[in-house]
Amino acid sequence: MNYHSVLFLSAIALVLAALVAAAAFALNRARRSSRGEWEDILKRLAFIDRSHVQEIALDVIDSSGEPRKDDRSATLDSETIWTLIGGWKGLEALESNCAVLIDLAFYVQQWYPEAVAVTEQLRMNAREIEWRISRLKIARQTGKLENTIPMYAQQTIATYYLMTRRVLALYEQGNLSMLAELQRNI
Amino acid sequence: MQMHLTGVDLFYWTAGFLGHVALLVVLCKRHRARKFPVFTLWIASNLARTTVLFFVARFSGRATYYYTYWTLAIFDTVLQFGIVYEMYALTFRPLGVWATKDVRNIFAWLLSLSLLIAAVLTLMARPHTRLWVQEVTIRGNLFSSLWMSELFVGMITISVKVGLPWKAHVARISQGLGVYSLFGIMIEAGNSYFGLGGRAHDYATLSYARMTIYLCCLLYWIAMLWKNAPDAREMSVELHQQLARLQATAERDLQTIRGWRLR
Repeated sequence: MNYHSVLFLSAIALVLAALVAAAAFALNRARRSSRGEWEDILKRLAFIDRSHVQEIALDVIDSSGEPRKDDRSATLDSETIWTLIGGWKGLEALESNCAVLIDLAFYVQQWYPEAVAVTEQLRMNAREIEWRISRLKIARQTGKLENTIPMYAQQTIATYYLMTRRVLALYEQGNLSMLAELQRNI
Repeated sequence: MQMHLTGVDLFYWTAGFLGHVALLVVLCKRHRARKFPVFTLWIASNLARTTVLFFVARFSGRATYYYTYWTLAIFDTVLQFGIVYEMYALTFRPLGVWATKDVRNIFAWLLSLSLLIAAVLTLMARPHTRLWVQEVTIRGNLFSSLWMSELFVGMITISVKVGLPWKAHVARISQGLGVYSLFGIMIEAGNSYFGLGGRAHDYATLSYARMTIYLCCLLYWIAMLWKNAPDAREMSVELHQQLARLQATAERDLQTIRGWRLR
């Protein structure tokens, strides 16, 4: 076998292995999301203090999701927001929880395929969160983190809060038995 | 000069013919043809191809067979890419419109990257052949298998990432074609390595392997498409309206969030 054949067959083997691994990973995740135990999805939720999330979110939005414009809104300063959410660790937990929230909505689609519209919106929310956290990371590198916390961190937390409300509403409207447990966890 | 058909050749021809007839019956009888028109057309074209090639092999020379085979193979490849489109449309257009811009961007990346990888690997192949047309054939098959596999794996990955589940029959058709394409890469890599330069035996062995895998896929499709997909739970009008309201609220949230400015 000459050098070129070895190179060609190695490249083919590499691409094949990558394709099989990608398909296996995705199928495994799909199985967990759609057919797996609901409790398994819930177990993936990282701990975030819900009362702190609510406090930060309701500082800038009202319970219906509308931005607050009254004099008592947006009173939390950067340091308080950062402490309440638990710094980078809290934001990272929040980012990873977005995937769990999507999976929780995705789970409902087994019975109600039309719920895909809600899942799609949640997924877009998650992308917004991902984007805002990436802006915060850039701000950290340029030494402007403190100034950007209200703009990106608080809005990220408010978005996350709204996502949790939408997932709860979805379960409530679907009259699903897991609602009570979900309310205790998100 | 007429082609000599061995007992194994006749077995594959008969099995392929019967398999395609059975699958077409399933597609029509279980009303899947309306939902999967391109897939049905592909199966029908394969049935026609099997029949035409049998008679050409039996009553014409090698040259006629060769040109008929490769002309029909081009049509077959085009239809296979048509099926990829059909599966993508059924998965990523769940509510009648294509998924959002960010998903379309992922599609663009997937198309570019998969084309690039398939093209590079195809250019790396150096099959030993006597005729240029044989080389083009082997490279073409390798390219098509690579690209198809990448597109199917890409579809699985994107659908999971964006949370758009496959409907049961879409999953079964895609899995069958995906597995067939993945094995196709190995077979075509083998053809490129062994070539046709005086080693027709290797080519024939690999062709039998390909046909065996294809027959397994046919059996899988017959069984899976005969079964009904699990029914979605019936949605009451009220729940439907509530979900629509929830979607509108979530959409409004998103607009609001995007509209936020620095204080």
